[in-house]
Amino acid sequence: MRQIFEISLRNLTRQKRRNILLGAAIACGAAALIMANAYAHGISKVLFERIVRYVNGHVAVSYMRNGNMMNQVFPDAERIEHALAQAGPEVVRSEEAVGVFGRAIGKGVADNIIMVGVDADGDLTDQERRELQSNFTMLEGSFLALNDRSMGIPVLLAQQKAKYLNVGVGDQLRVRFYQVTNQASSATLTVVGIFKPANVFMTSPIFLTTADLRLLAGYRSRDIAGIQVTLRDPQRTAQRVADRLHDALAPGLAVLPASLSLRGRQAPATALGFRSDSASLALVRPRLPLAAGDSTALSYRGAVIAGRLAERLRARPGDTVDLTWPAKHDGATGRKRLVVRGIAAPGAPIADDALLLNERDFYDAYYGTFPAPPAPATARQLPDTGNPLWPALAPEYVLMRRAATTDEYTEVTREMTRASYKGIMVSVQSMYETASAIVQLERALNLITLSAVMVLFFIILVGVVNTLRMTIRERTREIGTVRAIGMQQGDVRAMFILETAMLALIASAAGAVAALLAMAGLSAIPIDAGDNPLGMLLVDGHLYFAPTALAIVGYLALIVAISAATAYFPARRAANLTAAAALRHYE
Amino acid sequence: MKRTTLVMLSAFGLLLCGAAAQQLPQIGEILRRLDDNYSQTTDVSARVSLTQQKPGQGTKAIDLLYYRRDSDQSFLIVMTAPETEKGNGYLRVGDNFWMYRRNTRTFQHINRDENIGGTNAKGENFEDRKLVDLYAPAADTAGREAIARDKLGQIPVYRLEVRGKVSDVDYPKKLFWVRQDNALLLKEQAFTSSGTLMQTAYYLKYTEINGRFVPVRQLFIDEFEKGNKTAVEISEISTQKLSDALFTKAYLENLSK
Repeated sequence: MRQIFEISLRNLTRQKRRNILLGAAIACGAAALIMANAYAHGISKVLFERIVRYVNGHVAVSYMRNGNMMNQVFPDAERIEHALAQAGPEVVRSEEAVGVFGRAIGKGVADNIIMVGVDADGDLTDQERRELQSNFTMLEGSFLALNDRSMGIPVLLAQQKAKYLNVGVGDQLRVRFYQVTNQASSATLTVVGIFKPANVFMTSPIFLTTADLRLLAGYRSRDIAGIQVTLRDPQRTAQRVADRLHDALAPGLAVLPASLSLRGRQAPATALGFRSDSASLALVRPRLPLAAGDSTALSYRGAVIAGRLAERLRARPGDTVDLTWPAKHDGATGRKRLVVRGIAAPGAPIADDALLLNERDFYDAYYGTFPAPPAPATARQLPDTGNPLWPALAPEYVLMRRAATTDEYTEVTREMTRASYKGIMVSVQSMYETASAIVQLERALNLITLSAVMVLFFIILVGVVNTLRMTIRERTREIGTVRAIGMQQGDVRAMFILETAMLALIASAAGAVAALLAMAGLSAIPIDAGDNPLGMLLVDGHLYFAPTALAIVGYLALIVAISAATAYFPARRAANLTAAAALRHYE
Repeated sequence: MKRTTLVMLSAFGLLLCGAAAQQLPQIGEILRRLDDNYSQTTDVSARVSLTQQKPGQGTKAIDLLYYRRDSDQSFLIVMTAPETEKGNGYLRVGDNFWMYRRNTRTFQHINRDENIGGTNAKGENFEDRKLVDLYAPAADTAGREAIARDKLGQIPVYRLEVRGKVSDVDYPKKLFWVRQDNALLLKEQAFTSSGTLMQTAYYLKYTEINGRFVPVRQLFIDEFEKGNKTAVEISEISTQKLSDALFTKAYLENLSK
């Protein structure tokens, strides 16, 4: 085999000019393939790491209530933090994502805005800090001035937004917006910096610290906004962590351990909510017989109370009762005034101290003042999955199913906005699932590139076949000689295949080196994309290629394999010549 | 002695009467009277015209038909102008609230915070929610209810301040100017929790229907973005019973065919 290898190598050097030309063609093809792949991978990386990650985090926990996607508030931070603690060691950090739409007035001009919270002095790695600052190339003022409270509420603006609103550093902006409770609010913000946006998505937002924005948006101390989780090795771990978080967030039954009072009489009570969609009402009505009150008792706001509880309070339909309960945090007390709509008949599948609230009333109370958990004795009496009312009882929140792709995520979001559910809907997704379209885009770009380069290779390989046929023709007598002195058919075939494969390997390796050099050269050229949206594909104003060793080795192997396969047929033809026939050959 | 006592009692009585004449009504009572004045107890249909003015953007006229069913407080809104909105609609039945888009012929579940037809009006503004359920009297610096006598032009009014008592009110603080004689709301100012005046509303003309009052001409002035204002005119008001078929998706869809 070694002899065959040496003969093939020697033969390669015999026709230098021809092989150099053919090798150059293969090198060009290999370089084009590697560069195109590196650029597609670069686009994918830029979109994921520099855009999707900042919008979504590697893994995101988001909420929705009343179909409002901007209502990113969950009333019990502890519950979410507990789930995050179970997400696994891959979690580097988790932070709140706060964004508020509004309208800003600058100097004589108004414009729609979104206020976005940033952690100006967060616990970032050096690389993350560099990346964050690269997104805020400051033209005036400083990024760290966001922490300077001496100037009111400091904000950063993109140069385009500052120009439109006609404001500069030190000027004030008046903004109006709706808080998470949907109350109108306004604030005066001070511009402390103007930056050149790194991409088109950075031109619209007004940035302020997350702490400031939480206050403006009306978050209470124990409320928590949507969460963005940063992971180690996200490509490998994101889905796994999202699954764990999803499992840890499985909701239980929402329970409001309370006290109910009427005309000076008081009794302990356990308030539960029931879903008020038609299917749930259809399930509840026949299973919850009423001793007093009519069939509409469950349709409208108000409460249906257990017979024993009604007895103790001497309550009748139409009475107004006061529900009070201890809050989970801050020692506060929640209060809600309710009209008794119905009294459950004996034998109804609810506890003696239960009252059932229409879900709108229930969630207003439950989320309004988040209740302390029920005492163990109360918890033991709560309905379980065997209770006939269970499917209609209100959970703590609805946890949406995981979505594997962008399309599935869109469908989940659509379900969330369309649902008539009055509680909070929680969704957990990794960025590779939410933005799987980007992975598909990369695959599509690679496929297009591969197809185009394969056409190029087909043309090159026609050259390879032609060259090999010429070589075989020129060396026919030589083949006769080596066959006459004992070389086997297989060896002759291997000699020609090896010769072609070596040419392809050397040429494509040279192509890979050329591609790396070309990519280094192209990435060094500064590009001013201005307002062009394609500017988001640049990194610091330069093209971004992301070659991977695996892709380069894979493409080299593919090129060598194709070349060898192409060489097989002419080589077999040469090997099939008998020694006598080859020696008789004359040009 | 007896005579002196009688004189003193009479004087005291007169003083009490004078004080009673000066005594201001309670804010809660005025809110209840306002609710009574406006709450319709029958089905209602009307044509509503909104004229929006925004500086630099000219005037935009929006016309819509409004139907409200009393039994379950369902409502239907059908846009009739401008051309770009014509045929679009909003249907609320029970807890469900849909937006219908004529060009795609689709219904989408929306929430009550959603703006109607690109205006500042929200779904929740068309709900029949009582002021007494939403607002409570505010106190002045002395701890008394914030109510005073005032005049709006030549009309004697009560000026009163209220604070939101539930979290889902648009504005947490409001000032009302209410006619003293018939408890009609003439002017309203809405503030943020920080006290910034955001909107002033004038109720310019009322019409009486079945003993209840409907403000048929209203003017809303945006105090935050100066120059923005919206005039609302309500006409063709009818309190005849409306067919149940009106409050269905099929009806809204058929209207747009």
